[in-house]
Amino acid sequence: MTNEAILIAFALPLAATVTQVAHSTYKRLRNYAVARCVWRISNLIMAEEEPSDEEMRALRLRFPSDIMVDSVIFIAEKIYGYALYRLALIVEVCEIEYVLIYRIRHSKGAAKARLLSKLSAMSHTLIAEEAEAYIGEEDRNTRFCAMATLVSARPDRAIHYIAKFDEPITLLEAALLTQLMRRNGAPIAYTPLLISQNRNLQMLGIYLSGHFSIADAEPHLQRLIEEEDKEVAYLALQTLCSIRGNISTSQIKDALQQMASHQRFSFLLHAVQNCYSLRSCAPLLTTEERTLFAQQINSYKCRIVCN
Amino acid sequence: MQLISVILFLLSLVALVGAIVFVVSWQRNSYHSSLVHQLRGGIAHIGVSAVVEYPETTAPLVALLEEEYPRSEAVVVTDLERSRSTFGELIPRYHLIRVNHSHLDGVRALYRSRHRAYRRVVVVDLPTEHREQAAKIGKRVASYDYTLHLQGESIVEPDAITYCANLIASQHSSTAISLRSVVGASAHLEKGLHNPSGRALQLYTDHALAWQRGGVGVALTAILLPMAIVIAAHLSGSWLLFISAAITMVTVGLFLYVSCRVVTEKGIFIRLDTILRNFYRYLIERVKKIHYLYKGGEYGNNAPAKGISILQNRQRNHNRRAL
Repeated sequence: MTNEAILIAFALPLAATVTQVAHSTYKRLRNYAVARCVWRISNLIMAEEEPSDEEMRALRLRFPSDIMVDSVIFIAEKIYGYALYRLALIVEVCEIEYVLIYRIRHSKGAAKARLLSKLSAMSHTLIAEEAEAYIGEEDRNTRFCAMATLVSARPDRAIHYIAKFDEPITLLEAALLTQLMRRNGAPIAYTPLLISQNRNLQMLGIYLSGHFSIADAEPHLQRLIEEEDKEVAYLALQTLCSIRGNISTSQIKDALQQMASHQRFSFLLHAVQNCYSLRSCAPLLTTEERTLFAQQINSYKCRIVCN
Repeated sequence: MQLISVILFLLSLVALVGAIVFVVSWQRNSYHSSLVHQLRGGIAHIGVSAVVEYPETTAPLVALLEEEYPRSEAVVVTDLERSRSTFGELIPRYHLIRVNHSHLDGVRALYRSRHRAYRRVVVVDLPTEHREQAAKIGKRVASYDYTLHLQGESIVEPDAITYCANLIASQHSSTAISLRSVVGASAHLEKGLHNPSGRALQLYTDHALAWQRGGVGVALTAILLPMAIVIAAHLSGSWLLFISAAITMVTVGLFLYVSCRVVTEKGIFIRLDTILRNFYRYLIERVKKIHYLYKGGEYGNNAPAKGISILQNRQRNHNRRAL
């Protein structure tokens, strides 16, 4: 009885130590396997001649599907052009997408969304059919990931899919979609997006203008500030500020008056960051905000902390 | 002895139930933040200022400067007269100069770097007597409208600020958010000073955000506790104590599982320690909430009248929503 008690008593410290060792060993081995797989796939992609089916199938036999999926996603984020075509070929021959499709079919809710987003990294037309089945799902995340997968699989129809998406997209989602479209070489022209009446396309256009600091987008952004959608108007105003556009117009004054106070304060900080002077912003601000603006500038932020 | 056995058994049972709820909430958060992890690089529209209050070493600042997210800054609030030996060297190292701080009450000096490479460093010299104002001063000094508050020796994870910015971008811009980590050290992201309604969407994340430096006392206590119970059970011969020990083991085992799943370079004992601290905080909050619901405190609009039970309050809230 004494021995059993001592054994049980020491079980947990022992379990913790064993878990620590096992976990770090597993992580190290897995990282090593992914690195080896990435190296082999990269060799096939970079080879002068197109790799044979046998060479590609050898990969499938050598590495488990989990490792293959992670390696393909890792590589897909870092290559473009003809290399992407080679990667798609490897994905097709090794039937990696079928592994994911099988898992998607047997998962639910957010897990399904996560697997779909993995599938979107594999630029292969076959996956579009699978993704289309989930476009009407109840879960919003799953619907968005299905749309992102379609954007990835058919980059030529990306704008159509984004415009058709029935929910307003957030800034993060616009960034993710841009990342996918850039990876697959889809043409991204900001002007048609900014002049579009579709809210999701407008968001995409605003994100692009801010991300690449496109000064030519100023007239379109000025127009978007008058939009009924408050979020689009606010982000257009922020982007206009980022590209150092003219923010002293009466439209901007009207738009600012309709905004919540925390949004006005965010805008004020953004203007200080982008080196706007008190004189250029004074007509837009209340007396209290003007004092705050002056205090921020007087703490020499503008001279020292400018982008 | 019998009474102690029963109390221990009940306590271990409560801890197990709490742990299951905690792990479920962590799992749910990890699912919802899957999109946030996917974006490489940041979003140009959003900035985050990290405010470190009275650190003992420069390690938290160094960790913040290693953050790659461009629209971020590190605000260190410290008492330079007391910690001159530690933080005095920061002034020449980061080319810090004194700037105007007349609008900040109680602040002895405000330093910013005149070197472009260190433009993200801000040091606030605030006497320890005004310690309670540190968070407010940090927010006033911050260049961005979201601030990540870190206590003492909390070291941020390499991608914490990028993650916070992406999470803010995942919400609609009209929503002010407040973020806490389920598994990490005491780090709290919130909207700046000018949120007069004070209302923010409370989010919890599976990302650690930051880790506390220091010992692993809580983890060791948790691991040694079942050992002590087993020995006590053996000496007293009480089966109830044996069951309590087994339940405690399962509880700690659950936290070990969470510790293994958290993505970080930190050792498992540090992770387990921080997660257990968070769990205790979570339990205390729950107890406070239940206590308040029965007592009927002034806890916002949904405060129940004295003597109204939780179920009645829920029913009232449900009716209000229906209306």
